[in-house]
Amino acid sequence: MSDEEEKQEALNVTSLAAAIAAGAADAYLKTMLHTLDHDGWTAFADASVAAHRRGDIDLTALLDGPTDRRIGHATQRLVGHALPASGMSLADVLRLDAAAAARTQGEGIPYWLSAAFGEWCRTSPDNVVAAFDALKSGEAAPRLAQPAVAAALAVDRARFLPTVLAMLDGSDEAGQDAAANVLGRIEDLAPADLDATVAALEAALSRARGDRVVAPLRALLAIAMRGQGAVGARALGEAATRADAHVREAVAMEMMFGAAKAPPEVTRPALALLAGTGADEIATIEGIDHILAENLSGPLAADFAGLTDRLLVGGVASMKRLDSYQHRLLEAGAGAVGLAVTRWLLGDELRLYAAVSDICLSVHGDPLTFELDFSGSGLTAERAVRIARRSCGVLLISPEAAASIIVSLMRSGPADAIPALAEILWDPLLISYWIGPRKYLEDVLPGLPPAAAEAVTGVIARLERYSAAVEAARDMPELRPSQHHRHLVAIKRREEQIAIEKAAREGSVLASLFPMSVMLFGDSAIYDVVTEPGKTIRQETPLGVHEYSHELPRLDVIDPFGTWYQRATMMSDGGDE
Amino acid sequence: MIPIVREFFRGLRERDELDAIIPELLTAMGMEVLSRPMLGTRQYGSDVAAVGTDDDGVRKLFLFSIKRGDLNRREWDGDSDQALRQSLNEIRDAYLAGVGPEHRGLPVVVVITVGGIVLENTLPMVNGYMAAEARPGFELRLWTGDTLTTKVIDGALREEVFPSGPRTLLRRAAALVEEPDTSVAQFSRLMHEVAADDGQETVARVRTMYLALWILTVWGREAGNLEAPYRASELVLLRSWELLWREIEEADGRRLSANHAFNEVVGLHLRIWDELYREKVLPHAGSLHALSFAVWSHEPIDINLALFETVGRIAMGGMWRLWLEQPATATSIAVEAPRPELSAIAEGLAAAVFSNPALFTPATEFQGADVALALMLLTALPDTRGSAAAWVQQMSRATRLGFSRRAQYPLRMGDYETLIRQEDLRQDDDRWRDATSASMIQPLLAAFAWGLGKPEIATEIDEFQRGDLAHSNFQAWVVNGATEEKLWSGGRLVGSSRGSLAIGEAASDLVDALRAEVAGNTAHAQLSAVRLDHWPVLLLACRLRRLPPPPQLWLPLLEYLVGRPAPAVQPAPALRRARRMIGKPRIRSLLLSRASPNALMFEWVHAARKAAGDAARPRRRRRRADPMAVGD
Repeated sequence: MSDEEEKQEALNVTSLAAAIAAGAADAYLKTMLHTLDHDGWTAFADASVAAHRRGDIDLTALLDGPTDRRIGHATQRLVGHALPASGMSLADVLRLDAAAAARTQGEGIPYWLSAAFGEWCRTSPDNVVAAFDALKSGEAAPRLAQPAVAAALAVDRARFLPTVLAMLDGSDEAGQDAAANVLGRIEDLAPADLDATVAALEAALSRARGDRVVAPLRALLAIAMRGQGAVGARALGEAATRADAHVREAVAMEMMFGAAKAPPEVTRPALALLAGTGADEIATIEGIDHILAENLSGPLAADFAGLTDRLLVGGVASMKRLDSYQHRLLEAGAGAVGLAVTRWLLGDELRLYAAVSDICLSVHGDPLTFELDFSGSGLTAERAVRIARRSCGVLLISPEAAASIIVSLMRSGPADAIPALAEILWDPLLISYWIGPRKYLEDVLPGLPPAAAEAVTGVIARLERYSAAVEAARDMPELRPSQHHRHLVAIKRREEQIAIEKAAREGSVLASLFPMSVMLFGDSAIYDVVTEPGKTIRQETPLGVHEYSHELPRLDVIDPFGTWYQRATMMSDGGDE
Repeated sequence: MIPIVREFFRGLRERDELDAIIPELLTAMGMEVLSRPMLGTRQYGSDVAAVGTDDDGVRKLFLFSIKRGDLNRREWDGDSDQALRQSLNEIRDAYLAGVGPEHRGLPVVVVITVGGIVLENTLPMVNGYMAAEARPGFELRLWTGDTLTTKVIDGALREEVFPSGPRTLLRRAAALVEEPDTSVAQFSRLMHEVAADDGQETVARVRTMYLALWILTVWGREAGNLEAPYRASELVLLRSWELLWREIEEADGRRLSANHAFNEVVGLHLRIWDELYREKVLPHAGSLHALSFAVWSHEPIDINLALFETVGRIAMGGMWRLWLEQPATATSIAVEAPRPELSAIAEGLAAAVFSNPALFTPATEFQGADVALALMLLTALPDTRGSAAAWVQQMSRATRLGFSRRAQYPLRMGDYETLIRQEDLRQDDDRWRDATSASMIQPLLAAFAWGLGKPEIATEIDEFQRGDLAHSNFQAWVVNGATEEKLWSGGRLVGSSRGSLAIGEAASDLVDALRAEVAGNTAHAQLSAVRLDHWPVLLLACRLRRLPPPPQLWLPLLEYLVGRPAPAVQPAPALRRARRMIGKPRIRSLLLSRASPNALMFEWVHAARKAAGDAARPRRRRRRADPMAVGD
């Protein structure tokens, strides 16, 4: 380092000291982080640590400040660097932790400080001992237990493993959880240590009740994912005796990332446990969503599908909540979607039909259609018609999909159902939608077997006759609403539009994050981008127009009540009654 | 003003239209019309004959030979018997020989009358003929559209009769004919000013309104929109009745002219009805959803309102025909052997109902007038009674289901603002209760269910009333002592509400109450339209004022049906497939796969008529003069 650079470092550290004293460390460090490059910042941090060691500045005061002020990123980086490197005492570390906790009220200890504390512990076994003592006495906050335990097993596993295993049986719940969480994730335990660990965790699990189950169960499942299937099976068997929301959440969380690696003897009882999930177990359902998304195929695909169906049928989750699964299913292609849809339609449960609808509605652009195979399902004509009716009722706003289901039934279902299926294809589908389903039918017509092709051709011809008759009556201005009525409707629509826009704005995350500027004209926006203090560049962004159109059911306008009634009867499949 | 009238004459497209207007014009000019055009009758060249004082002060016999549109060489002297020159020769050779003795000595003026112009290549021949044939006491004149225009302006629309105010209103009404609300508003003001002119005889005032209506009609026809003329014709008809009924009742000579003037007004009203409904709407009535889509709106309420309005008007046209057909001695409006024209209207009405399912769910109680009229017509004819029963069943069950879900139920409010914002109302218990606190449709449906032999439907309505609708005042509208003075030109606050109607098991309580009201209400029989046996005028007033027709007009029909075999419940005869039949198995038509709804209608009508032996039915003698029969 040149003399000039040394002088500059000294000047920076002096400035930092002044900023700490003035309670403006965050702002100063932010400026430094923006001003210095990587090496410069590292040098500055090292210089600060050295100054702290010399007693020139007090880095333990870095986090002092008003509790309503968030800790800046630059400050976090400096503390994270300084804490293990500065040779701070436990008292200093705890002071920083307390200050950080005060400024992150309700948010728990931030990861960066936890990691820094762990690093501090790892610098010396004495630090670990000191940390354990402080935790035991209550001097250190319980949240520091887990980094301390992790550090202990990293620094000297032989020395500290018995201590950690003993913590599982201790009275300190934070210690129990920390020990279990860390033990479950150590991948290189010696066989004897593993046995001891498993035994201790199983003992902890058998003692645990309520939410105390979570940590040991997850630890045991984590161990099970690493080739210890029997451990997982025993743990799940134990947990099943008191399965509750905590157990299910623990299973879901642990399976979320490891289900693909889990052996069948773990997966099956885990899925059985998860089948009992309730609609209010939000986190568990999120976990299950990820589990299902990752297990669309494989030897246990049927078990995962079974869980999906149980959750859907039970009303525990809709496809909107299982959005990751839905996304992955659509990504997997028509074959996977077709299998799921066929299974759901044959499932004869209205909520499974709703799942089909949700999938259809989640697709933008070209409407979703299916090519389903019912040939092996042994459908009777009555059952095929029931499937078609329900599909129409539920999928009335996804007409192409509904049409594709009916065509699939015509193609691979019982032949004697074709006339009735053609009727359903005509009313309510084609009579409500003149464009989309017709285009679909014309596209698939060449590939249909003769009987189905004949029925579809007849339905298209019927639509032509119907629409021709409707068009022939169009020129009757006498029936049209008056200008006054149209004006009143326009006012009403405008009011509705305003309400929708307002609700959209209020519900928009983006709108709450970003300021909004209204442009009065133009097809591009020009604005200045600040690249560095006092320096801007002109940026021009062309504007895009996003349009989305969807064919609306015509009968919903000309006969809304009748359409509702028809749809209701089709969904309930109560015949025409 | 002149262009308006000139275009009016040019726009008279049928021969009988120009024929019909010329006598009125002559009457307005102070002439005495001796004969009017008759189709199919040899007239010896003269379409209209009149006696009057000419410009030279001499009383003369005027003989008019009329051609619509422009006159070309072929129409002047072509091969046809109807060529104008041939007609003029017939006047000279035959007609004058048969002139009555009281007119035999009068100088004769033969007027060649054309609605448009005489084409340039024809004019020399016409002039030459006129010069060659003229002799003392026998003169030929040419009236073109421009001449007629001048006569109208100087005659019926002359300044002292038709001052500048009404002229301006007529001009506006004609110019705005494509904006029916505005056009009718202008026409109403015109009508009010003409009707209030006490300086004119009542017949003259009616004739002026009639002529103005004609002008508006031709303009509407040219614009392809007869909405304003139709609505104006209803107003003119009622106003004419208000002005004329006293003279019609008189025993003196004025009775004839008043009768004739009213007859002309009814004729024009029905002519417009024919053009709008028989020719334009009813051909599409059997096409599934065609009329619904024709409303051309994305607001379901627009479609609902337009369809019920259409149904009411179609039914009203049918009731006029029924009235014309029915003998005076009839105790109810039932017609067991209707003429094909009447049957076609009723069948078209039924087809419209079952092709447009929005008609199962009225949106407001004020549509009760249209529902009642339609049910009366459908029930009066044997072939459509099953459709009436099916419709009653559908409406009854749909409104009950709609009420239970707050989805669709006729509200007691009829204003458009409320109807397009029903969603707000449905969310509020108190407002919903208030909005459903009165009903005339439910008792009407119960009564017709009873009459049509469907007591179970009436009982369902009774249960509905005693359950969900206990807060609702079931009622009917009846005439009271003040109705005569207010009904024909007044508003809705007219007559009496016969409220607190209980339905009872199979409508027993309802029928008892209605019978008592019919027996005890003396004002009804005293109403001019009833007393003078012009009850369609009362029905029209009810439709226009959104009042349900009084039970005196339909209870006898239902009484007549009770005890007879109940009709088989079926949708429109033409449409055996009814979409979304509520509460009963849907009727699936086997025919649908091979025929369009239009073809179905044709097939059914053909079959039904054949089955009913329509062709073999003896034609009944018409009792009343048919305003549509030219020259009657």
